[in-house]
Amino acid sequence: MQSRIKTVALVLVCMCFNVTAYGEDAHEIMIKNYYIDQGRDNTSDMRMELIKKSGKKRVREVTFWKLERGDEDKSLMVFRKPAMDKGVAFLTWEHRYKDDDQWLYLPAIKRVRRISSAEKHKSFMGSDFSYNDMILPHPEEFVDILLGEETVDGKQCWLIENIHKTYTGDPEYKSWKKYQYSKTRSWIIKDSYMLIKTEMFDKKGHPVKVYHATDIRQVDGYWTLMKMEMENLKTGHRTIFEITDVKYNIGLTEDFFNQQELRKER
Amino acid sequence: MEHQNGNSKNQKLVRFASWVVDHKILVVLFCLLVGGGSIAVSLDLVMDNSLEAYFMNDDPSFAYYKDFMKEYGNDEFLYIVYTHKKDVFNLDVLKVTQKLVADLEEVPFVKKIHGLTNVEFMESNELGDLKIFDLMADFPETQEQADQIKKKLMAKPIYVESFISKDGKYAAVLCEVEDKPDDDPNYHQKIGHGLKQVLGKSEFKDFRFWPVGEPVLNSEFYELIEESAVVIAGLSFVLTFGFLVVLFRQTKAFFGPWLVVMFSILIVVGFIGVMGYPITAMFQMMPSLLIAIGVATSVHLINEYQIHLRAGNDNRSSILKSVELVGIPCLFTTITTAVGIGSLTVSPVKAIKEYGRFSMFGVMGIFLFSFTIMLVVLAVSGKRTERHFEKQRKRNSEGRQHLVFLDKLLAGIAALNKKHYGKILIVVGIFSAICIYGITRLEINSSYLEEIGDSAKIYQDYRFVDDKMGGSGNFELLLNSGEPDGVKTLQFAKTLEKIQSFIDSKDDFVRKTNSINDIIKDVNQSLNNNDKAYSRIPDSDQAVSQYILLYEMSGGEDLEKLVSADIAEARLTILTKYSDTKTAEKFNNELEAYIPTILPEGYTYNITGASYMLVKSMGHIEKTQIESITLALGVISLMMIVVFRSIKVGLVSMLPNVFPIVVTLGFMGLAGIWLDYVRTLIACIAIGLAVDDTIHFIFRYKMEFKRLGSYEKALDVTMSDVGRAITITTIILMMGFGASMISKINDMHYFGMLASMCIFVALLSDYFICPALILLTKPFGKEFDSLDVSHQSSVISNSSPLTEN
Repeated sequence: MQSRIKTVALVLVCMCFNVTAYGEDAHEIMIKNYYIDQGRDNTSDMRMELIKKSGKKRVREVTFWKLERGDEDKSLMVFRKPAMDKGVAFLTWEHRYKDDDQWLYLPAIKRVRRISSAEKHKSFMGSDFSYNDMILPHPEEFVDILLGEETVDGKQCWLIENIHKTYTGDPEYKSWKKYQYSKTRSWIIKDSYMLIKTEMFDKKGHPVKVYHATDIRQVDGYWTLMKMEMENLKTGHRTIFEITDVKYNIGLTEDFFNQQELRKER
Repeated sequence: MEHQNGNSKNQKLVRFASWVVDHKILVVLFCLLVGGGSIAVSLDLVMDNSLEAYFMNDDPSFAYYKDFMKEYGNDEFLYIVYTHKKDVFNLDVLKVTQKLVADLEEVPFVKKIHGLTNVEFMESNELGDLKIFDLMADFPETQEQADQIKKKLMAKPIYVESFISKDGKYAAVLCEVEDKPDDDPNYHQKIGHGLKQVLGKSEFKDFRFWPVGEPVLNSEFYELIEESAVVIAGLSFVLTFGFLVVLFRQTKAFFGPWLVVMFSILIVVGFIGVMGYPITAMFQMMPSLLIAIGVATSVHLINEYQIHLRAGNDNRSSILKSVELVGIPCLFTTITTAVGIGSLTVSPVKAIKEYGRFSMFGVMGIFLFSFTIMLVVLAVSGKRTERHFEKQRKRNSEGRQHLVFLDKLLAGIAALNKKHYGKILIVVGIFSAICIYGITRLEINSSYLEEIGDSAKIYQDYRFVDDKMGGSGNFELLLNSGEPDGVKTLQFAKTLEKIQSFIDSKDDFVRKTNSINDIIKDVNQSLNNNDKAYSRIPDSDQAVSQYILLYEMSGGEDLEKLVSADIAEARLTILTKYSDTKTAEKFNNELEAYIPTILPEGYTYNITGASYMLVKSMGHIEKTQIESITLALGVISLMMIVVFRSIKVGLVSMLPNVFPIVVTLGFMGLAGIWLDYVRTLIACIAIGLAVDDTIHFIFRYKMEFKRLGSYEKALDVTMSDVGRAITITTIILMMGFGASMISKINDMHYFGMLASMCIFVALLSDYFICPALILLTKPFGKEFDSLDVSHQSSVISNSSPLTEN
């Protein structure tokens, strides 16, 4: 209990200090990052490389559609490669306050199955990204501390430490399951509020993963992640996502993101 | 010329000894500096008894094992089987289990923990929705809910005997561990210590734990080594030094050798530190080896020193004369001992190679300190020593009274040799034939567990886990389809299934197998209303592939551990009973015979894993034994031939040293004692030591023959003088090595017993084979008439046997 009080006190002191020292509120920066405009909808092709410590890798290619709905986005992903998995389709309805809804269509059995998974710390498609990494929790769940300013890949960034409230002793989060990371350190680009780098720390406080967005560009006026990499420091495994053929506001509707659509060949 | 060379070498040594006696403080400072420096560089010594300590980096099977770990991760694990006074699925017990799983995260290097409360579970509900979740993500609120979960778990073959025993009484927690960091060889100890701390918490007192896994076994093994090395070294010290005190009845006769041994051990430890060697199981034999050799060397020096003092010489000249007399023989025996032990450096086993190096260094250290610090000890309080021996002379040499019995025995042996040398050699021949038969039955085998012994808790834990749950040894079979994504085909799944079924049928050894097929079958069962009948491979390539994808899409995280990055290869983990390497080798051979018969074209396979690596290492033991013995015998024989300038004498001097090895290895074969890492050292150490006594014996014999002209008369004098010295050194060596017999580690126990036996047989060889061969072959030339010098002792002759021509 005593250590929790200390942690909260430390966080408060750090927050006051950081706000006055740098004239920016770390939490506000994280909120701006969270709500970066991604258009009404978008589509892209995504290439995913899973690379083992040995250097050997496997590749997946999917086409991705997304409907932006604030905290309740909908997305559809259809597999192109490997050939044996062509046509497998994955539909997700994100929910902020309950488990996401997910459906999977497997051409092999020609059936749509609803998948129920509440484990957001689990791997996303066998990659080094977890669901928590792909769909960041809302900033209100974190205490953010501005640690300073640094340059990453030639870009001026704020360096912010994020501690999930399940670790700060916040009574509101007492019944919550401990967040996957005890803390993260985020580098946010000053002129775009895009996240360029994150270091994740496990429950023992050891660095466990490093995320790095190596190509961030504006497409149709929207800041877009074109290439990103996640490295698991414990296993040496890496995942690289490469995005191509990005299009925004192509007129997708709610109807596109239903179970019937999963079966259609694209 | 030889005479001049020998004399010149002798004089150099004597001049050096004279300098030492005149510069005592400088010599002490030098020794303290060397000792202190050694301590300083050895502060970071680390223990490592993992496979890495035994395999050279360029060993192909080890290189493959390392590649395997790079591809699939560390194959080491912690596996903790437990039960509770109440049922393991009792609601209260489950709550504490949840705490246990959380607390295990405190154990260093633990990466991921899988227990009843968080194991990944897959099922479909009544609507057909597939659900993948941590088994108790929704923690049961009632006992009824807990019982429901138990029922579900036991209905899935993938979990039975992995996380829950067949009878449901025992459960298990599996901890994955991080790769061993290159800069932290204390990895196993840290894990073992951390685990003990967690399991020892008061809140888990009603649990009964059986923890197994390489980190636990190695950590326990280290503790035993540390404990037994100290006890053995202590006993070896008390026995050998106690004997010295009784024998020489002089404080400095104890203090000098003690300093020699202590400084030698220190420089070996320093050498290990400088070279960056880890401390392995082999290290535990080093202190008793150096104590035995150090004391044995000192005996020669102190014996001569006291003889000269008794004869009325002053302290300084007694020291110099003893150096003159035994200096060169001691140098020569140091070299032969170093060659014997150094022959181990040809071993392909890294730990044995390193043991050979640092022990050789230690043997040379003993020579260095015997002729520095030892002389300083003899030099101080010289006046008092002279007075002591003056009084003793007046008491009519009472110091030798206790050796009367030995003198009579040696005289009897000499008489027996003279009368029956032919018969002695026939008996030796028959005995050798029996022992050679024994050698053909010698088994190369090893088992850490058997070495620790069945009274140890860890031994019982392993046997229990092997009996009730998934097994504690592991083989890894890698089946390769030859093309990317080849694993995701029906043909591959069926081939893997055949192999897995074959392995599962070996249920007297194999406890559990695990592969990508188990996941495919689990997905199939879950997609079909959890019906056990669907726990099988689906019937199309597409289905196999998409079931794997489904598993990953659902958050399944084990795929990387089960298939290669390009999905051309799949891993089949075979959990077995922890066995000796012979049993493991038999299983491996069965596997190697079966798999090629069912392998489709283009498919290949490899076997690795910790248990397999132990099997591979056994081949290295055989190679080590043959190559090191050959090298030691070859080099020492050559040295003998050169020094004696006679092939005949050289060979005659070697035969008595081959006999003890034949007897020891033959005895091991007949008694069913395995040849393993530790025992493979015995022969080379024994050659190196035994040959010393033979050298002393033959040199003296040759010298006495030249003086007396008769083989029989020369034998009487040699047996009387050298026989006494070699008997004493043999007793000291036997006590030094015999101390290891109290070790809790079977390996060390047998090492002590067999090394002592080998050295004792070497003494018998010097008593019987050496004289019998000399009497038979007459290698020093024809007999001649000489002045009657009777059978008087020549021990105080001022000439060194090595320089006598």
